[in-house]
Amino acid sequence: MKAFEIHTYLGGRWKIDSVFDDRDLAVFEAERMDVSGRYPGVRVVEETFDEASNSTTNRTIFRGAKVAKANEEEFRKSAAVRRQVVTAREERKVTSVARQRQLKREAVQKKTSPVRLITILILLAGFAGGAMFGLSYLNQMM
Amino acid sequence: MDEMSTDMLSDEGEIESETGGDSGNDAPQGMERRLVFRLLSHWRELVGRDLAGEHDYPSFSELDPETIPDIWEHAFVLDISGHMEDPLFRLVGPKFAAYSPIDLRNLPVSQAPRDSLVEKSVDFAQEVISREVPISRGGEFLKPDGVKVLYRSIILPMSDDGITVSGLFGAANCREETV
Repeated sequence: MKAFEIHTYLGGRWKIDSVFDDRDLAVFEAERMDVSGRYPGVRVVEETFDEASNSTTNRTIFRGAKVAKANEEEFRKSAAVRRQVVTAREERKVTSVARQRQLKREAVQKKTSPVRLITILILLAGFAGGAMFGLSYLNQMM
Repeated sequence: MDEMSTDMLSDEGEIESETGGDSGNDAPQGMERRLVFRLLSHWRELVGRDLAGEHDYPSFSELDPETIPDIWEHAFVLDISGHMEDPLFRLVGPKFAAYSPIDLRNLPVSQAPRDSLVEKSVDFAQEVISREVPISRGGEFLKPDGVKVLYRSIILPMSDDGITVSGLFGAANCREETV
């Protein structure tokens, strides 16, 4: 069993305006209401009751021009946001890879830095000199 | 009976065509001629008069037969106060009344003549009471004499306080289909 509900958007919510048993009549009336410009939104919802499963399914079979336009605008906005998110993610990915490479390069450079090598040599030389001095002092004492 | 048949034929266009075609209707060109749509539009106008937006339904006191004379002839009023299970006919338009061999006034809808426009027109009154929205139904049925009748009807919720449904206002018309 089918019923065709005309819904109007008022006060921030959809409200059932009227119910028809005929699809053409419901859509005709909804179109008339949409054209009148009195309603921010008009739609027709087909309600199908399945007696076997005792369940009801709904699907929108007509959307007024304003609703369709608003949906289109919303879709365009969300598509733009999605594109921005994807772009930002890719940019972040590129930046992240570059940063990692930079860090690795810096680490390698740090390891092979001449200043670092000279410092190590000086320290080793100092340590060796100290050890030799210590040994010769011990030799003199004995 | 002849008079009834003439009435039925005069409403033929209203049921059949989207743009109308009711031979007895002088509605201006471009104006909706179908009975159910005209009555629904009138009902919406009455609801819309409440600028505060506090009322969901118009009251019977707002109904003026003179503003809808052609609809009024096909209309009926059902009283549900104290008769929720079986509403009573209170007012019946002359053309609608012509579809019943008995006087409908103060008659419960359960006693509407079988296989008649009257019975089909009030068949879904309970659904209007429970859903509290205007409902239009149509279809076809066979009269006891075997003549096929195509009909369309509408029932609208009405309220004395604008919030609680306290009565129903409806209208219907039909045409006989000769086989």
